[in-house]
Amino acid sequence: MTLGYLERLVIQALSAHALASSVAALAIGVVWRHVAASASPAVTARRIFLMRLMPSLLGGLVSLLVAVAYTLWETRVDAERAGVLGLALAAAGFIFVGAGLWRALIATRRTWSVRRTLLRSSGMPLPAVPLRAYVVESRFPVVALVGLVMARLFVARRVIDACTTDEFDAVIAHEQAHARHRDNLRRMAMTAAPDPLGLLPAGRQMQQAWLRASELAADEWAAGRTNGVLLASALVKVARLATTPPEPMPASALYSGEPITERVQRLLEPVPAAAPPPWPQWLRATACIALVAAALIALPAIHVVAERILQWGP
Amino acid sequence: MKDPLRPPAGLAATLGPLELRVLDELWARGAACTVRDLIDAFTGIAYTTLMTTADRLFRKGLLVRELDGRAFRYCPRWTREELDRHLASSAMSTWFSDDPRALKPLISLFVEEVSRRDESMLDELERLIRRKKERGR
Repeated sequence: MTLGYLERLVIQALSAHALASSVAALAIGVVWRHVAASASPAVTARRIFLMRLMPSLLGGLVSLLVAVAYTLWETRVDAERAGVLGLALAAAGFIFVGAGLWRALIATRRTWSVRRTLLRSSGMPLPAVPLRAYVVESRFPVVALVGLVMARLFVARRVIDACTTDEFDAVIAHEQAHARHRDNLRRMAMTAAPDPLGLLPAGRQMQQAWLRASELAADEWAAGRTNGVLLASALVKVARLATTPPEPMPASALYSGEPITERVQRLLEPVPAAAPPPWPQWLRATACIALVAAALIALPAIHVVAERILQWGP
Repeated sequence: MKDPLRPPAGLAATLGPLELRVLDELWARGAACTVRDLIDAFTGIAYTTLMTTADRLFRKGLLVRELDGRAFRYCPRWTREELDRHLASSAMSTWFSDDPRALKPLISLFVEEVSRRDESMLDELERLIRRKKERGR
């Protein structure tokens, strides 16, 4: 098949993205559990988040380098042959990007549906809360932070009535932790990541593990600022309200309850976990400069490899 | 102050304006009506448009109908309150789908639903918390 100058650029960028993100996804799919393991849930959540985004980031970076090399060294001939390997990889890249966009669209639509439902049943704003918070007339004990950037908190009146003032402060601190860490935005980034992990069970497992770690991290953050025992007490009270729905809920809504046990136990007997010291700033800066230098030196070779991949096969 | 992002209350967020007007009219009348009965309340709306709207509401499961001579008589399947509740719970059910492949809304929930069989587990956790509080005094 012969392709024009711009078509070849798109095919090369997409195939570079597919190849780099697939290699990274394969490596991360094998090692992520070992690398993520940490006594601190905040560290675990951060590591999982970075690893989940790594294939997409690497794919994006490599396809950017390929595009830069292409514009620098590719001759402006109108037609050049493309082989089956380049076309197949480009198709895979297109699928990864399209599937990521599709997942982002569906998740956004579902979030808006929930937001609309909550706004419909929400009443007065909650004063003296460090978030934009509203009281919701709901029979389910909703405590939900909704929104990617300017998140709003919705709290069912039943929850406010069931908790003491101190317990409620602990609940708010938990949600404040989610807002501070922009957990909904992180979730969106992981959901929309255009890479093979988004299509594989490993990606879903990573997201589940991140959810669990981010809940524990929010509990830990809230316990550090309020009182862990009171947060545990609020957790059990709210869970108890959720066990007796006044009308039957779908069976799929039920889950075994292990996460609550784990959360309460960790709040009652906190495990001291020292976060590993961050890399010194000079080391980070040096690593970045070295990476950029290596990428610039490798640009001509990158172009040669990309051309070979594009033309390989019948 | 009214929230500018707040959508129109109730069913208006889910149904089209004409669909909502038809439902409102039927709820107000409190009896099954044919399209010809309703047409007087819809000035400027063509008979066929109203017929299509009633048919669409029937297909959505919001109206029931029975043949009366050569025309259908329509009446709402639910009261307004029942329908509001139904819409709210169907939206909520998507929050809790445990299908690992299902894309869930991007919200942080403090507690998801706990099954009835977890009551004893909650009792046990409550005992642990009480003991901890007593030790802390």
